[in-house]
Formats: sequence, C-alpha cells, structure tokens
Amino acid sequence: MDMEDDTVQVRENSAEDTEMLELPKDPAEVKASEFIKGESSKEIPVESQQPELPENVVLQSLEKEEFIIKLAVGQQSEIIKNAILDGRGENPVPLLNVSAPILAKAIEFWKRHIDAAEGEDLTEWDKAFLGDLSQEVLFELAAAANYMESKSLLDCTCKFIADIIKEMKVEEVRDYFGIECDFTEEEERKMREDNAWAFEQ
Amino acid sequence: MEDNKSIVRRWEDMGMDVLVKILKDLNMVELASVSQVCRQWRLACSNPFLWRTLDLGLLRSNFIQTPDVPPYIYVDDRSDRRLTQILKVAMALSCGSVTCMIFHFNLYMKDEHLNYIAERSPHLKRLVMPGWNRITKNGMSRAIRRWEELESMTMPTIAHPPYIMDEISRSCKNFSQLKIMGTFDVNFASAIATSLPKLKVLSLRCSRITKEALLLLLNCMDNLEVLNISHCLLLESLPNPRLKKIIRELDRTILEKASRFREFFHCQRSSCVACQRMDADEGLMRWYRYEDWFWRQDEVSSLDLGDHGKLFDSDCEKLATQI
Repeated sequence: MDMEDDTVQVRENSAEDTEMLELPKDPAEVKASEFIKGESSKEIPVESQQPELPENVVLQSLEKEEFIIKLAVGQQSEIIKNAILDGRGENPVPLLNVSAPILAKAIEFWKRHIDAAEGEDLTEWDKAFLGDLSQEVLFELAAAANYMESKSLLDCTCKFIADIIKEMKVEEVRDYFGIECDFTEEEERKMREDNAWAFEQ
Repeated sequence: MEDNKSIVRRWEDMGMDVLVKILKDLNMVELASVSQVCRQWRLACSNPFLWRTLDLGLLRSNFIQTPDVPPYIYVDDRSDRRLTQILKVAMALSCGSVTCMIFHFNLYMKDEHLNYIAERSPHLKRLVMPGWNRITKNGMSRAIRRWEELESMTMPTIAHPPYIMDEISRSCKNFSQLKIMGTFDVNFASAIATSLPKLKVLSLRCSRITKEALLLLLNCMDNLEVLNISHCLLLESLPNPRLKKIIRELDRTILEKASRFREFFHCQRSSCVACQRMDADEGLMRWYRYEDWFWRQDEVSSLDLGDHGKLFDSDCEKLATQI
C-alpha cells in the first residue's frame, strides 16, 4: 500500500462546497462519539467541537469520479475516517488506488452493513454479494479493502477467497489464479515428502 | 490462454499483504497444500503472521494409564508417529517464527519431539505443556537451553522442581510468567523463590496448595505482581502429619500480604463451579471430565488461552486420527 504520494489538499470553502456539505443544524447535537464507533460518548463542550463535521462525504476514485455518501457509511474505512476527522478534514477524499466500479461495490457493502439491524446476521448477504462478482472484481475489491483499511470488507473478502481455495487441489489453485509453478520437480518431491501427513487424504 | 497474463497481474496486485490475510483462515493441512502453488505462495504460507501461535490444543495422545509402571502413561507408537508428522509439517512451514506453542494435557510427547520443536523454534516466548510424563530431566533442560527468549511457561507439578527452575534462570533472562497445574507444596515454592526471584506472574489456579507454600510466596517473592490462587484447595498442616485441614477462607495475614500485588485472584465460593469441581475431585482436578475450554481458562488474561485458532482445527483433528 503506497501512501507516500498522498496529496492532501484542503480546499477552501467555496460556494460549491457548501452545496454538497450539509452542516449540522445545531452544533451542540454533534458528538464525536456519533462518528467514532466504539469510543465512550463524552459530552463535548460546544467551543471545542469541530463545527464543520459534514454529514456527507465525497469520495474520489482513480478516474476522479466522485461518490457522495453519508459519513457513517464512509467511516468503515480508516482512511476515509481519518481524512475527515483529522484536522480540517479533506473533501473530497482522494482514493487514487481504487477504480470507480470497485469503489461503488465497496460503498454498496458498507451501506448494507451500516443499515443492518442490531444483531442482524449478514453472512448470507455477504456471500451472495461476493458470489455475484467476477473473479477480477473480487480480487480488486480485496486489494481496495486493504488499501482503504476497511476491516469489515477486508475480513469478508479474504474469508470468501479462503473458502474457495480451501476446497482446491494445488493445480486447481494455480488455474484459478493463473499461476505458473516455478518449483523444480525435485523441490516439489521434497515438499510432498515433508508434508506427507497433510496429503494423506 | 491469452487471459493468463492479466490474471497473473491480478493476484499480484492483491499483494502479499492480502494473500497472507487470506491464508490466515487456512489450517496447517490447507497451508501445506497451497504452499506448493509457487515460490511466492510458499513464502506467504511461512509468513510469521500465520505462525506466531501454534495451538495444538485439539491434539491428544492415544494413551492408557499404567499406575504401577513409570512413567505411568503408555502411548502407542502410532500416536507418536502421528505427532512427529504433525510437528514436521508445522516446523517446516513456520520457518522458526513460532513464538507460542500450546499442547493439550493429554498430549504426552517424548524427548525427541521436544528436541525437534526446540531446535526449530528458537524464538519461542511461551510454552503451554501440561503433560510431561514421558519427558526426561535432560530432555527438558536441553529444550529450555535453546529457548533463550522464553518468557512464560505452563507446566504440571513435577517431583523435583529445582533443576528446571535453575535451568530457566540460567537460560531465560526474560522469564516472568509461570503457571503450575496440579499440586504446589513448600518445596516448589522454595525452588521458585530461589531460582526465579524476578518472577512477575504466577498462577496456581485449580491446584492443591499448602498454606506453607502460599506464605513462602507472599513473604519471599518481592517482584511478584500477579498471583492467582482461584479455586485452589488450600490445605494447612495439622499436628498429626497424616491429616490436613482445608482452609475455606483466607485469613487477614494472607490478605494483607497479598494486597501489595497488582492483581490477586482468589475464589473459594461454594457457589463457584470450578470450586465445586475441585471439591468433587479432592483437590486434584480431573480436567478430562470437563469441557475443553475449562482447562484453558485463567483469570490472568496473559495466561488465558482463548480459542484454538485456525492452524490445527477440528478438520485437522479428524485427519490426524487417520494417520
């Protein structure tokens, strides 16, 4: 994950910006705990609140296509969360490593998870969602989840791919990933010998 | 297949990071299999992230007890061979990165197994091995000598503790946590106080301990910060040496001395399931009668074992029985 070229440019508020950002109606109602899951909710005195925590966030894909989502949806990615909450917050958040179709899928996943009822089990939905994707999109989504530091999406995609390869023999895994074996025959023989127990199925 | 090139780019775009995270979900049999895919994957399968903790808690020896013949346990050859093969796979893949190893109390390994894993896990920081019946003094000493970074050990009661405590104090400069399962008398306490004065954490939970031993710990272990005597059967000597009195409540002296600890865990409630089981088993907890998670528990968080992890799961357990 290459973050060295993170060009963070904080745009000054322009007329266009305020159209997209809905400022909270009453600053006193905005508590940091609403945006950061898991932290104990503390009352934040009005003076020290960041008055411009937006309700919506704009994400910018590799192709500079923009996606508007609710902050709560975007906070499932550490990168997005930090981009908004650190300092003055940058909007739109540039996600230069994620292409638009992949970002759209990630957003779809986050939305479903945010909308989930308390204690609702989404494993079936997750499986169907990922099962619908082409192999290419699946891999790109996993890579994007890693880049955007989205634990929920990363865990889900990794488990899904893991479940696929668990059922496969070595040759099948190679086919699935389009990998050429670069071991010598001697090396392969030795590996088989070392792992004898594991292959006695 | 023209598609080949673009597909190859794809998995490599996912990167090693993601591949390793995917592999975290696989057990060691599955890892052994996919480690043959190609060199990069072999590397990924040996990533330390996967092998920090090798929890073989689901593996048991096929044994019978032989109460009249030392070492009082007989394990069949097939069981030994099975253990050898499993350790071979684990050590080959882990490439020396295992820092914590956990074994079941019914896993009775021999010196040769112990030596094998000691040679191949030089950075071991924690060992949980409650079944020492078939291990010799030499065997254990040699293993400990290889584990310079050892910090924590869970062991059974042994007849002559000094030699082990000595070896640990010589070889393991960072050793700070000890858990004993079984009985704990003043000789054991003395061995620890003598050889491991820097010990910080000690758990004796669910053991049969003497008041004498407890007082020695409280008086002599200056660096001890955490002591766990939950659900212990606490015995006090009586004038008649063949009789012992069960102490049902800790007296003020003990509580006062123990108040200096950062954490002092004790429980002797008749309503507590663990205490009831101790009573029923007369102080020598018969772990095999109870749930698997029960022996793995500890009130001290750094000694609690939690879940079995992915490396050796129930699928591996089933496969193992076929060896």
